[in-house]
Amino acid sequence: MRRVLVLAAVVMLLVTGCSNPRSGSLGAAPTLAPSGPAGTFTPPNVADPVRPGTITIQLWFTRDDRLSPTRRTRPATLATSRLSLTELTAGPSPAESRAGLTTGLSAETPFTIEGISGGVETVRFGPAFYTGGSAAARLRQAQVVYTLTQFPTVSRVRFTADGQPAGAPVGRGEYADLLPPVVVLDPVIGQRVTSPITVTGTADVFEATVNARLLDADGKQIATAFTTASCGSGCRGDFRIRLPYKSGGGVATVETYWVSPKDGSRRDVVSVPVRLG
Amino acid sequence: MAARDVSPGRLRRRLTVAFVLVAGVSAAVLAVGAYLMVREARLDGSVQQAAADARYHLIVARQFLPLDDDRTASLLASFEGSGRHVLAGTGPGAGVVASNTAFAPTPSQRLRTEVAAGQLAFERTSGGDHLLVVGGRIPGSVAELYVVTGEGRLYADLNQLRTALLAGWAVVVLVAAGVGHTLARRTLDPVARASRAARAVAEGLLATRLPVQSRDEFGAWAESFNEMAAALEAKIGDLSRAQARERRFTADVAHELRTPVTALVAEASLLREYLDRLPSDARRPAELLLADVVRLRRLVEDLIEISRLDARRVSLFRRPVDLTALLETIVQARGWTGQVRITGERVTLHTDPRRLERVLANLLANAVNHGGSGVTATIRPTGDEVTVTVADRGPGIPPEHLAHLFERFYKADPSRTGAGSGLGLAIAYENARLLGARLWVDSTPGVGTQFHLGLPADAAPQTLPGSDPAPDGWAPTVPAGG
Repeated sequence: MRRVLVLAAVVMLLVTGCSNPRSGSLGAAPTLAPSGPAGTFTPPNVADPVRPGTITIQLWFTRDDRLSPTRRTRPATLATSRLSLTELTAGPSPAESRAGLTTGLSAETPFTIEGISGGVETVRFGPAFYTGGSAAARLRQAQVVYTLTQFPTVSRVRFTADGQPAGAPVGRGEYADLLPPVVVLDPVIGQRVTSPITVTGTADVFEATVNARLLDADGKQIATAFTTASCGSGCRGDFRIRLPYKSGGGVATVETYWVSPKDGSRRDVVSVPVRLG
Repeated sequence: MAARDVSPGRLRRRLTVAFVLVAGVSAAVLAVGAYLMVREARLDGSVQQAAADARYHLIVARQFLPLDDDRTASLLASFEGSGRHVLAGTGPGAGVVASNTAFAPTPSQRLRTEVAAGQLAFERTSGGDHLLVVGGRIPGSVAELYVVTGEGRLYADLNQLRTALLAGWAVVVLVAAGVGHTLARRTLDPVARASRAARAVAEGLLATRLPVQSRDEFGAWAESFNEMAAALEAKIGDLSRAQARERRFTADVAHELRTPVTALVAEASLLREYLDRLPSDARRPAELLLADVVRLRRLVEDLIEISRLDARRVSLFRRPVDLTALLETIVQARGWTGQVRITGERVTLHTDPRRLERVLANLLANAVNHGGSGVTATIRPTGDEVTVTVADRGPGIPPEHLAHLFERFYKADPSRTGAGSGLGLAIAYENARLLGARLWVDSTPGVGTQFHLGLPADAAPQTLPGSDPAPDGWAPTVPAGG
C-alpha cells in the first residue's frame, strides 16, 4: 500500500510539474517613446489620367541607389521594348524627380535592340552605358533588366557592347539586391486615387509586416493599415494593403514602410505623392 | 505428489506476466514521460511564439492610436487581413472588440488586470476551441490589444502523438508477451524435461537420461541428474541381482529338500502306524518327530510355492466362483464351522478359485488361530471391488508391525507364530497380487484385527509370458498390474 502511495505521488508530481499553466504573465509589455510627426511633403504634379488607345508601361528608376518603379502611359505601339528604353533614357518626370527618383541612363546613352530569342532580349548600348564605375553600370543594367522583363516575352536580357556580348544573359534575380526592402508598385507618384487606396508591391521586412498610411497635405495621418506579405524576414513577398480614408480631396502622400521591433520607428519609408480624387 | 497438483505452464505464465508487466510499466512510464515533455515543450513554444508575435504587433498597433472608432476598425481590419485575430479595447474596464466573432473569447479579469498593470500576459480558453490569448497594452497608451491564436492544430498533434504512443505501448506489450512467453518456454523447458525424466525414473525407467545441451546451470543440472540416475540404476540393479540370487537359492534349496522330505514323510507315515507299538518312553519323541516332519513338509511346500510365484511360473484358471460357497467350503473342510461366521451378499466372481482359496484359507486360519471363535468373514461389494473382510477379536497387532506383516518370515509377535512357516501371509499377498486384488490389514491392539481382500469385480484377462499352458481350454491369465 505504501509503495502504491509513493508511486501515485510521483505520478502526480510528474503530471502537475509538467502541466502547462493555462494563464500567466510573459513580462512587461513593450513600451516605446511616442512616434514623431510625419515629415511635411510638397505634393508633386499629378500624372495624366489613363486614356483608351494607350499602353501603360513600367519604368524602373532609382532612388537612393536602389530600384524604384513608376509608370508611363503612352500611345499604343508594338515596339514596347523600344518605348520602355526610350522612356527610361528620358528620365523621371519633374514630380518624380522631386520625389527622389533618378536614372542612370540619359539621352546620351544610345541603345539598339537587336531582337528577342528564346525569352532573351539582346540590347546593345554604347560605351557611355558602362562608364562611371561597375556599381553605376550595374545599376543601369538593373534598370534595363527590370524594365524589359515586365513583358511576358522577355525573361532575360543580354547586353552587348561594340558587337560583343558584355556577359551572359541576366534576369531580375541577378539584381535582387538592388531592390529596397519595400517596393511600391501601386500607386505611383502623382496617381489619382480614391478610397480605399490599394497599395501593392513587394517587401522583404521583419515578420513580413508591411505598413502603410495616408498623410494629408498637412502631414496629418488620415488612414493607416498594415498587412502580412507572402514572405518576410529574409525573403521577398508580395503585399496588398487596403487603405480606406474619409476626408476629401487634394494632394496626399502614401507612405509604405515597416516598423522596427526595437524602437517602433518607421523604416525604409517609401513615400508616394498621390492626388485624392 | 504436491508437484503434480501444479497446473502445467503456471510458472511459464507467471514469468510471461512478469515480463509483460515490467515491459508494459517501463514503456508506459517512458511514453507518459515523453508525452508530457513534448506537450510541455509544444505548449511553451506556442506561448513564446505568440508572445513574440504579440510584442511586435503591439508596436505595430501603436500607429493606430488614438483608438477612435475608425482607427479601431482599421486596426481590426488590418489584423484580420494579415491573418491574425485580435481583440482591441480602449482601456481597462472598457469592452473589447473582436476582429473576428468566431475568435472572440472574453479575456478573464485576471488577464485584464495583468495587462492593465503593463504586463504581457496570456491565458488559454477552457473550452474545446483551444484558443491562446496573449494581451498587452499598446505602447504609449492604455489601449489593450489581445492577439488570439488557435491552438487546435497543436492539440491535434498532441492527440496524434498520444494515440501513437498508446498504440506503440500496446505493440510493446504484445511483443513483450510474445518474447516473454518464448523466453519463459525456453528457460523452463529444461525444467519440464527434468520433471518428466524424474517421473520416468520414479516409474521404474531407470535408463532415463537428460540431454546435456548447454554448458550453463541447466547443463550442470542435467549432468548431475544423469549421474544420480546412473547411480540409482546401478544400485537397484545390484539389489535386483542380489534378490534374484536369494530367490534362486531359496528355490534351489526347496527343490533339493523336496525329495528327501517326501521320503521322510513316507517313512514318518510308517512310524505313525507303529506308534502304538513303541515303548512308552519312545512314543513321545516319535510323536514330536512326526509333528516336525509335517512342519518341515509344509515349510518346503511353502518355499516351493513362493519360489514359483517369484519366478512367475504360475497359471491362473478363471471360472465363475461363488464367493460365499467357497468360504463355506473352506470353513467346513477345516472344521471351523462353529468358529467362523460368514456374512454379506452372495457374490459370484470370475477368478481362479484355487488361488483365492489359498488366500482366504490363510486369512481364516490366522484369524481362527489368534482370534478364537469370534471370527467373521464379510463379503461386501464396493464399486469396482468385492471386499472380503476377515475379522477376529484377538489381541491385535501393534501398529509398527503392520507395514511388515506381509514380508517373508516376519515375526511380529511370538503369539502369532504358532506352527506356521512364516510364509503364509507373504504367499497370500503374492496370490492376491496375482489375482489383481489388494490385501491390507487394520488392527487395533486389544480389540482385534481385520484383513481385507479387495477383489476386482471384473478383471481383464492378460497373457502371462512363461505361464503353464491352460488345461481344458482355460486361458492362463494374470490380472492387470500383476
